[in-house]
Amino acid sequence: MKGIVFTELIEMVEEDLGIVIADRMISHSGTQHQGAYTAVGTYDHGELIRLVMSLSRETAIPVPDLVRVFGKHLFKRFVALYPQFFVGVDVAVSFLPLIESYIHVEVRKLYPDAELPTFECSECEGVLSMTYQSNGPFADLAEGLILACADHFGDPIRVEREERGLEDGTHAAFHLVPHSHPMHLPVEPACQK
Amino acid sequence: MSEITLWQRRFDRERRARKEAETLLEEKSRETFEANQRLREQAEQTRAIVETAAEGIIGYNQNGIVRTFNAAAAEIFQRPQEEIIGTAIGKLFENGEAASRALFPRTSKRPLNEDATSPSGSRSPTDAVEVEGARGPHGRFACELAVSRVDGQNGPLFTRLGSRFDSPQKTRIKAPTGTENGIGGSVGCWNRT
Repeated sequence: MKGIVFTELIEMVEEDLGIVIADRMISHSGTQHQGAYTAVGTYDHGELIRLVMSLSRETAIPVPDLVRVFGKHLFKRFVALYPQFFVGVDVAVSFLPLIESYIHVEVRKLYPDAELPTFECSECEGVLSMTYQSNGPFADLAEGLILACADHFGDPIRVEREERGLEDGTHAAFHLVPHSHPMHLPVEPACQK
Repeated sequence: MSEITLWQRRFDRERRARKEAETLLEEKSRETFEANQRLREQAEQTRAIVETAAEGIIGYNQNGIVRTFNAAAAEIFQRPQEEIIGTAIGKLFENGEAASRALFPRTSKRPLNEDATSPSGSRSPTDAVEVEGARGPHGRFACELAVSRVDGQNGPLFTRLGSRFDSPQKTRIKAPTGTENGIGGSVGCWNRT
């Protein structure tokens, strides 16, 4: 996992919860790098899990909630750090398919060793479905990113999550449903592959 | 724990992260330097091969501007390199539909050899088209051009193969040509006496 995820997590905790909690999160996490991460480095995603679990113990906030909040924070940071990816895009349902077809392609050019999740997108009857798959259990992070993306563009949509595979957070589908849409999950058979 | 200690620990983490970033940067710089070195060597080698080839080789971009025109091509067309490079490739051929289809297959109604896809995705040269090469106001010679296509990472690659029959000398000149990466293309000719 790229170091930027680690550095942004620590910065978010420092800003929102203070340096004391951040220090406790790191020192009680038992991670190999002990909070010393660089954005351009690559680290075991298990370290992020240990950091978040440690933060959960410190704050008594459930891990999924923390990870979703972090996903939202991360999206805002991506907007600030990489504005070029957002040029000419007006709606979330146009931006999200670009993650796989454009952004990840660019990331791989810079970091061939990056382990990236996949976001397979399909659209049916006005509903954009994104199938997330990763080596790490970060579906909550993906959900936070998607929710923040919808907020950023102001799309009138709701995000419905459908667990897939082992339901361990490595595989999930997100359906971006317009508020006016009558569809209810599970996805209608006509839209399924 | 005092606030000073907390900030000292934070400073220590930053310092370790900075050292790691510096190490990564050094590695990347070295890799980039070595890659550039390899590219320079390859470019020099390619330039030497093209320049000393017995075959005439012409390279041109999507706008039909000649970028490469080797010594053999200069001899075949009896025009100096400096006169041709930077000018339109159309100057080298008598105007005609056959020539423009051969030179710009994407603009033709049916791309040449479009059905000749091999299992690997490359396409064999086929459908030679006879065009007339121009040596100036009075000199003309018959030239056959065919197109083959290889699907590259950044889109289709076209290679062109042409055969030229030099009427006065009855010399056959075969001409495969370089590649077009969806942006530009090249034509090459080689003598097969």
